[in-house]
Order: sequence, then structure tokens, then C-alpha cells
Amino acid sequence: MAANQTVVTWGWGFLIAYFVLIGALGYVAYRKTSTQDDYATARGGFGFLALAFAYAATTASGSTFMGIPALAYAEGFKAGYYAMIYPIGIYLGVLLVARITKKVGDRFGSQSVPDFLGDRFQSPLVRLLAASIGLFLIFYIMAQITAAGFVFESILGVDYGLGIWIAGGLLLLYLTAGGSYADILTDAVQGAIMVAITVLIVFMFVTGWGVDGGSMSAVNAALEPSMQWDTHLSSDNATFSSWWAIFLLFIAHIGFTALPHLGNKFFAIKSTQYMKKFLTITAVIGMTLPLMFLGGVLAAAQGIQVQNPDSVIPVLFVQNLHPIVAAFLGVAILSAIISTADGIIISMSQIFANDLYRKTYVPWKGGDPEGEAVNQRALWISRIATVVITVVAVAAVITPPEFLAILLWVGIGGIIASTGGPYLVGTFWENTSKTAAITAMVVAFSVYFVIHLGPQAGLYEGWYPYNENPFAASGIGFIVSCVVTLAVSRFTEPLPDGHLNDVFGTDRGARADGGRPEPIESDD
Amino acid sequence: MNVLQILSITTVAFLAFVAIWITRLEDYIEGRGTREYDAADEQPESGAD
Repeated sequence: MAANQTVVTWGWGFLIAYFVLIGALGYVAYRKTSTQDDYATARGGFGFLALAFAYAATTASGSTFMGIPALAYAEGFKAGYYAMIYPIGIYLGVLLVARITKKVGDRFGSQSVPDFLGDRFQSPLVRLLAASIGLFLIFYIMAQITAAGFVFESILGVDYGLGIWIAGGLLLLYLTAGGSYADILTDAVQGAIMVAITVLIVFMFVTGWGVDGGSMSAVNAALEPSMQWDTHLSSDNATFSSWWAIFLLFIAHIGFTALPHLGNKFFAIKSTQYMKKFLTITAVIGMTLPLMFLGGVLAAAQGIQVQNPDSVIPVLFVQNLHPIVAAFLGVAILSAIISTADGIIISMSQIFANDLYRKTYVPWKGGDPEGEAVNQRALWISRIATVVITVVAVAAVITPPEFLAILLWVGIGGIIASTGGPYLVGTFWENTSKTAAITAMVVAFSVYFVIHLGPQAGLYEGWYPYNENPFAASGIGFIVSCVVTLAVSRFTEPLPDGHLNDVFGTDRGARADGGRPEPIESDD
Repeated sequence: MNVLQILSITTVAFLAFVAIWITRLEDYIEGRGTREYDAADEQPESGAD
């Protein structure tokens, strides 16, 4: 699309201001980052409000601000079942696991979700398996970078190929120095901006902006019958093919909490005593942001034509709002994309620095993973891995990949299916065994591969809708993961009582010195 | 019911569940684990560790 010149000019102005703001926040974060634990988790570094905005911003990726509105533009109101059901699943999962992840993570010094699982189950193999599957998150980063490239093209008139490198440079500007502090600090600001955009979109929809009649009913009437709000399902679309498929979409997203870039955020809250306020606020924000789907519905009602449906929200802004406002909102959408990419990059860097090096390689060689030299080396690995992961992700999408969605769900679906069961069941049931966790990870990932990845790779046709619908397939994988975890735990030896006491007993504080957890006064 | 009405009901229901969880269930679940293992701490060594 040819970008409006005024929008382009102001867009560059806002982009430069955004660079300065993010760079300044990155510097603040750098001043706070002196250890590997700081870089990996920003442990105890944030209050509930900043973290609630950051968590919601990280969860609502480029998909919420571009992919879901694009789906609504094509499918109409029924896209709302994806938009508004997925956060219910995610934040239900958050309610279930947040407190114990924070408590146990601090107690054992866990620096990532794979690390947390390894500590919870006293198993280097669990940590290694979870970390290995986490490497597929590179495709998630690639998807975000691709989305950023399209925003640069739509709003700023920048060639996609240049846009993705600018996005990569922006990420490196603050992540390399500031790690998790920079990630959460910038995400909190970006989250606030995203809420403002969503409120604007809801206002435009409710007032029937640009549609004759000026109301929600007028928007509905302007749509094709198959897109109107009385049409709930579509046999042509695997995501909305049945109520069962929509239910599985909900189930799959409960396990979404196991994704490393979301689970590691819990370590950053100051104390478990702030957890209730954090949960309340992040759930409300998280349920607000997906209302962006209404923008796609409005664009369809207005008859807006786009070459690439993913660009529908930027185009909606350009065609309906003052160019200065449109330019600002375009840069804000970019911030939404960046806010997810940064979290994934940090969590991936910890797979190398913490899960594979500090907690696997060092003990294997007989070293002390808590030693000062090891921690400093891990910090450097974190920073180098951040650069390498970002450059690789950008280089991989120089040509927008045709099968990115498939690759994306190798990572997301694989993690949900494999680690979702051990993570959630292990949180609530003390007798969850190490053998059960390992078995569930292998079996559930295999099931997910058979029903979704195999057909997607063209190996065989598979079963509809699981062969085409990653949410339904992940939902089945997650159910299998939970059932196998429960079933195998019944017939295998639970972990030692002393370890379970350390995990589930009264708060004993962090284990920063590497010693065994010591009792301290409760922070509740 | 149309899509928006169904989504409004599910959203309000979920937020109500969040409120109940925050005010009631979380303390109960947290207390359950604490009670169980604190009670175990007070008993003589089992030798299982």
C-alpha cells in the first residue's frame, strides 16, 4: 500500500521519539543489571502495576494487534471467539500457577520455566527436555519480526527488508544491556500504550465510525451475512468449525502459561504478597487488549480493501484518523509487536545461559552452578545469545516465510503439549512424580506431532480439524499431558518428602547463595 | 444470542471467577500446602529425605 506522506513524516518523528524513550529505559535497566539472575529474571524488581501491564503486553503479541483483526476482517464477529476466549484460557492458567512459580522459583533460584520444572521435579532431564523444546520459540520471534516489517511498510513506507532490520536493531538497543529489567520496563510502557489504542478501537466500533447509521447494529448490518453476529461457526474455517474446536482453543491456552517468556515474568514481582493485585489487574488488562478484533470487524463494515489482511488496523487508522494520530498509532502497534519479541528473546537466551550452560553443563563437569565465575560467564552468554538469536531471527525472515505459522506452532503447541501437564499438575498435586513428568512430556509432544505437525509437514492427511487447527491439536496435547502426568504419578514413586516440603511448605525465601532454603518470616 | 452477547457473558463470568479466586480460593489452596507440610515439619523425622 502507498503510505500517506504526512503519516510517513510524522511516523518517523514518533519512531525516533520511541527509540529515545526505549533507549533511555534500556539504560535505566542496564544500571540495575549486574548479575546473571538480574539479566534472566529481574527477580523481585517490580511492583504489581508495572508487571501487570508488562505481562499483558507480552501475552498480547503481534497476533492480537494484527493477526486477530485480520481474522475478524475476513470472518466477521465469530473471530471474537478466538480473540476473547484465548485470554480466558491464559489468565486462568496464570491464576493456577503464578504464586507457586514465584514462591518455588525464588526459593530454588530458578531462572526460567525449564529451570523451574527441573527444580520442581529434581530432574536435569526435565530441564533439558523443556529447554530443548523451547528452542523452537525462534519461530515465534521470527513471526513477530515479520509482523514488525509489515507495520514499517504500512505506516512508514519503509521497505519490508529494511523494516525487519530496524526492528532487530531496536530490540538489541535495550535488551543486550538491560536483559529482563529492560524487557519488563519497556513492556510496561508499551502495555499502557496498547490499552489506549484498544480503548480507541472500541470507541470507534461502538459509535459505528465511518459506517452509515453510526452504531454497532449499523456495523453488523454492513457486513456480509456469513460475517454478522448471528453466525457463530464456519465449516470452512478449522478454528470455528465446531463448538468443540472453540472449547479446545480455550483448553490449549490454559497451557500457554507454560511458555518460557510468560512464566519467567512471575519471578520479577517484589513479593508473593503483591500477587493478588497483580493477578487482578493483569487479568482485566489481558481481557481488554483482544477487543482489537472489533477493529477488523469495523474495517470490513467500512469496505476497506487491503492487499495484506495483517495490515488492516494500520490501514484503518490511516483512512479514518488524522494523519498525525494514525502515525502515532502505527508506531504504537509496532511497540505491541516488539513487547512480545523482547520477552521471547530474553527467555530463549536463558535456555543457553542458564538451562544448558549453568544448570546442565557446569554440574556435568563437576562445577558449582552458583559460583561467581560461572554466573559472570552465564551473564555474558546471555548477552551474546541475545544478539545471536535476534540476528538469526531477522535474517531468517528476509523473505517472509510461507510456512511461518506452521513453524510457529511447532514451538508454541509443542511447549503447551509437553510441559503444560507437568507444570499445572505439578503445581497442585505434590505426588506428581519425576517419571510422570518425563513420560508426559514425551507422550504429549508425540501426540501433538501425530495429529498436527505430521499432517502440516505433508507426511499424511491426518484428521480434521486437528490437522489444520493448531489450537485444537494443542488442546488435545495439553489434555493428554495432564492425564499422563496424573496417571503415571499413581504408579511411580513420588519425590522425597524433604524436597516436597521445600517446594510446598511455608515460605523460606530465595536461595541466592546456593545453600539449602532457610526459614524466614513469611512475606504474606 | 449473538456473538457479542455470548462473549460479554463469558467475559463477565470469568472476571467474577477471578474475583472469587483472589478473595477465597487462592488463600485456601496456599494454606492447604502450608498446613500439610508445616504439620509434617512438627512430627519426628520420617527418614524419607
